[in-house]
Amino acid sequence: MSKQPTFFKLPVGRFDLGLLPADARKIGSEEFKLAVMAHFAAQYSSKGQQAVVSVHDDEIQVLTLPSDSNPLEFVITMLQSGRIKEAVPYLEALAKTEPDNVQVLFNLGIAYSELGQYDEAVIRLKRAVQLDPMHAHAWTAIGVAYQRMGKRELALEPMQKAVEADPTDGYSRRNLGAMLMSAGRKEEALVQLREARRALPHDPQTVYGLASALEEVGGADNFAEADELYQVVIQRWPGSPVAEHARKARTKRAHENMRSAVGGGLRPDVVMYIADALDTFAKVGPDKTKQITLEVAMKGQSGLDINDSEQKHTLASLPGKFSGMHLVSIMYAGLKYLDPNMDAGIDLSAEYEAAKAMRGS
Amino acid sequence: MKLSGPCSIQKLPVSAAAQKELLLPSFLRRRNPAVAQRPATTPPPRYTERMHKLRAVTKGILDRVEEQTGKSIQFLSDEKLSLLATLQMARNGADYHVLRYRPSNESLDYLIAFQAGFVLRLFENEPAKRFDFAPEPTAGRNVEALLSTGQALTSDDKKALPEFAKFVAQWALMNLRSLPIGMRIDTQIAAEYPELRELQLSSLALQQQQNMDLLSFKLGKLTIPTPLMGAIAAYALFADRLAGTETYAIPFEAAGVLDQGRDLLSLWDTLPSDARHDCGLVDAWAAECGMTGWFRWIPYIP
Repeated sequence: MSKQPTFFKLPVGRFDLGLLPADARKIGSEEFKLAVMAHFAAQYSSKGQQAVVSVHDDEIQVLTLPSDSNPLEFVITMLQSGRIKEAVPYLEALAKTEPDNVQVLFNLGIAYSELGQYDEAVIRLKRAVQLDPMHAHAWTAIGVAYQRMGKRELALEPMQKAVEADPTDGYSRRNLGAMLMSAGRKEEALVQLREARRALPHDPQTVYGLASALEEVGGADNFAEADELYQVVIQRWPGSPVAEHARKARTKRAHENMRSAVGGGLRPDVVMYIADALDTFAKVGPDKTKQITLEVAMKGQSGLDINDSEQKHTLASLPGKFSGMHLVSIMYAGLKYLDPNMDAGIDLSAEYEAAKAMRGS
Repeated sequence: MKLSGPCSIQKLPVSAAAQKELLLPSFLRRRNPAVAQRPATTPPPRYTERMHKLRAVTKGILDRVEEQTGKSIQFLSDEKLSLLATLQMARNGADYHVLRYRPSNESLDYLIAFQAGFVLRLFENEPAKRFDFAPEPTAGRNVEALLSTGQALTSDDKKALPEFAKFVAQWALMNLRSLPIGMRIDTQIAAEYPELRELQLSSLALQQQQNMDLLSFKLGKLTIPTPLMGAIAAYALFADRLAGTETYAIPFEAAGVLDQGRDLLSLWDTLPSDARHDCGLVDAWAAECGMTGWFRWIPYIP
């Protein structure tokens, strides 16, 4: 017996109608569809296999599996590997054979939502929560579908139902928090996001989400807490996209602090640092410039405090002791020297232009 | 407050907006030996590293090929190969046969044994009885006739018809040349080389899946004509017999081509299985499928 799943498609016009009862031979009729499904189910079950059959207007699709395997698990594997469109007909076929299977309905709803077919998604998901009102993820998925449809006013309630259904579920809390934030109910959002973080301490997006919300709410304490959380994200998940967002958020905040220290004007120390760096680069040439710039960039990976002039750093490629702001100025000048269009991650353009003007370049 | 420098020169392609978005809960070919038309021109190395990994039984089969044909086999790893492996026989004075294989192919030992089977069966015949299978250039027109009979084609279908028919003719002729003789070789491998059985069954399953895919192959209204499906239906029945399964044939029954497959398999069972009857077997299948005259046999010139 074959242990491998097989899959084939058959144009409806190719199906041998002689295999069906006489009253089921009208292609496209409900009787035809049911008879085709029954035909394959009977054929494969008699050989120790099971068939998941979906009959469409133009095509019959058949997935066969050993009888001791779970078709839903197979389809979920398809979904998880991103073959969502391919999986939908099987889920539909499973939903026909098991119309009250909450797992099938839930996964079908998620699949339709991922495919952008939100109306179809909501129908399946609502049926799922009707059968199992405690299915927090189905409630959340309804909220997400409404939100993606642009029906924000309908999204909040299912998100709240999700948290009611399972107050310990961090994902439900996180989504409700995000929804409350976008509705301007920031304090309520923070409550949910803090609960989410408690439930999901190892989830970088949850930590980042709370930090981001704290920053949005504002205030010295919130800014400080947000910065601590951004650092947690950067240190614990250094290579992740979320860590990159955390770095950018910290850079932006540091930049705002730096500017506010001089009332939004030019930082003369930065102008001087950049001017000195440009002089050095002109002497040492592009290769050495690249070496220096990259060394500073590498140091920046672990964070440079641009608002602490006391702390000093050294470089292997350049003699001297440098503050965080000095190093960032060198790096900025180096990146602009090598490629004027490069994004340095911090805006020191005014100081850079002033330094160039000072040097007459 | 610390400032993080850019972690690298490139920007990461994830937008900040995406991070703030709400998150959905998560979800939970083997074929016939290629008909060589010209000898290879540059001798590749005798053994590649991959060849050293062949099983002793496979090396033994290759030694038999060299012994019977008097020519050595050169191996070429070819990632772009459309088939799993091909064996281009030495001819027109070439000093060696060329075996091309896809380097990632896990069933390589079996595929080499299978390909070698075609050479060995050819050389079991005395030199005057060794023939090459040569498709007739008119085969495509025969398929055109099959496709345009009994159905109204759109102008797009009519435009695509000659190329589609040519493709289907090549495919049908390849099946005719390779499947009945290949089934003899498979029977021999199953009987004589049990150590290759697992690889054989795995390759067989892959081939069956590929053939099932052809049931829905179409271009506009153009599909493979039912009479030409008989060979793969017979092969599915054979695969069920060899593997001890009963499921490979089900899709072909649903497509209404299994009776044709049974007739072909019955011919295959009835005709003598030795290599001297290989051409006769192909001719018999051709007659059954309505493909007589679509090819001819030409003397094999080493």
